[in-house]
Amino acid sequence: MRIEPLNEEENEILQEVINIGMGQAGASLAKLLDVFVNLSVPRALWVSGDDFIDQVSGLVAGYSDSWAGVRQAFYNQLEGETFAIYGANGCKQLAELMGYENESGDGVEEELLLDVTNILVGACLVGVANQLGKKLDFVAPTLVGVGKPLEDLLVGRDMEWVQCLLIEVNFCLEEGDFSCHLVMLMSEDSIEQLRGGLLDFMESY
Amino acid sequence: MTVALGDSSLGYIIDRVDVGILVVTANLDVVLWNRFMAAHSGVNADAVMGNNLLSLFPDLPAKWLQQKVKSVNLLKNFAFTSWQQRPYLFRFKHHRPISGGVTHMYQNCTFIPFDGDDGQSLVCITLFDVTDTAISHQEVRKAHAELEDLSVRDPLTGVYNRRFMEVELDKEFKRVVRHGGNLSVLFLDLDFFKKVNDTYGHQAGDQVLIEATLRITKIIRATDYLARYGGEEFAIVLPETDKKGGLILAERIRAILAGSPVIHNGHAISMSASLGLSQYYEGVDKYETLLDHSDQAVYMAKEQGRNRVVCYSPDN
Repeated sequence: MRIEPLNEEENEILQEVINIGMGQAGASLAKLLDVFVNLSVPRALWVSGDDFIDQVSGLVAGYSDSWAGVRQAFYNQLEGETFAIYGANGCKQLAELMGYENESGDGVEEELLLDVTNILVGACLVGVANQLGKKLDFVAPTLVGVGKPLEDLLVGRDMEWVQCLLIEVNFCLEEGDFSCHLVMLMSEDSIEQLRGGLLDFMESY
Repeated sequence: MTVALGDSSLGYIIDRVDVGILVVTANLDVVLWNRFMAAHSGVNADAVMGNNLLSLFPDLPAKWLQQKVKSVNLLKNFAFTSWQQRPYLFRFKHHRPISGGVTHMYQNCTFIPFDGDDGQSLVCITLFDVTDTAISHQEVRKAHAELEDLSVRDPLTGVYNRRFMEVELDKEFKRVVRHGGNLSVLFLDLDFFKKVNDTYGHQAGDQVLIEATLRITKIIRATDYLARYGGEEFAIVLPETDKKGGLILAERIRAILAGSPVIHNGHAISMSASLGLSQYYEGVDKYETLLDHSDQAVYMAKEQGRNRVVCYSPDN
């Protein structure tokens, strides 16, 4: 079965819902870290088929040559997987704000990446799911790789899942900027759920 | 969740499930401590309840834990830790006194925020014992590293094999072609090696090969690649080295090999080598050409009487 892609109207609502979700994510982060957080208006677009890696590369081009990637799966009424992609500096500037300054060892930077991803993905997706009245749960995030070219992070993708939603958002903090690209893959069932949720959301207006 | 069980049944399950479960307030005062936690920490629930987790367990990462609990409370979002980055939260013993190999229990933890009956913010922390997973993961990694090492090394001498040397030479070659700089390749062929095998046997021959690589390894730089190219033939890739530096090294190698015999079963087996050096110059189009030049130089060294160094010259 090949599902219908979202139409223009549905996409507009989705963009709106994501804007609100990311706004909540930014607000949560600001509250947690006690700093001002500015975030760019998230860009959301659908990517499909074989040019997935090219499209993602195109979006993040110029930021960095080496990347860190974290994956986190979600399940329940919406199910899928999120990839968070960070540039070479990752989110090191958050170490102190996240309570890591006394920590040492090889795992610290990695754990920080996992932590920040969990917060961003959690806040954004829960924000989206709540607006759409869908239940959502998370699996622990895992590290895909650090200091690697993008292709190395994105290969091994299950080609069955042809539709991916790509959300780009940049966070600016007083402590220094960091950018994070979120790539989301959802199952076809979930995209139907998403569509249903979007329609309900639209009608509730 | 709908339950047909009463509170005491649920309490029993929470207490006896083989997962560590504890609940703390925003200040890290303990309000639930199940049997798994009591058994592994050696501290009973009575002694823990109502007391501060950080004063009970001063080894806990205080700042980090406070921030973690604050964060899940604020965001009302689960948080996780994995043994791969943080091997454990509580340093507990493991259950492998016999199979061993570890010093503590590996743990995956989840932080679950919720509101208590009186509305206060609480965090439930669950600890999963993932020691078995961690051990098998480490075993796989170790096996992988060993295989990787095997695939690039010559089994007899332990120096790199020809395939790996050519891959590295290709990289160095491309680097000097693009960015300039020096690159030299030294070939080395042990003299009269067949005679060693014929006279003293193959074990003696093997020992000569091993001894030769040990002596060479001692005097080359960490950035040079020594590889066994074929039977008694070796190649040394010398990055950032010109003809002058290459000749100095080649002469030192020649001298150290010929300097003293190899002792095998009471026999003193004399050893020497013919060496051929070539340096990259503009116009050499591929790394194979460099290898070929070095090979020609070794051939000349043999022709001229062995136990000597010859440098390839484009004019010959």
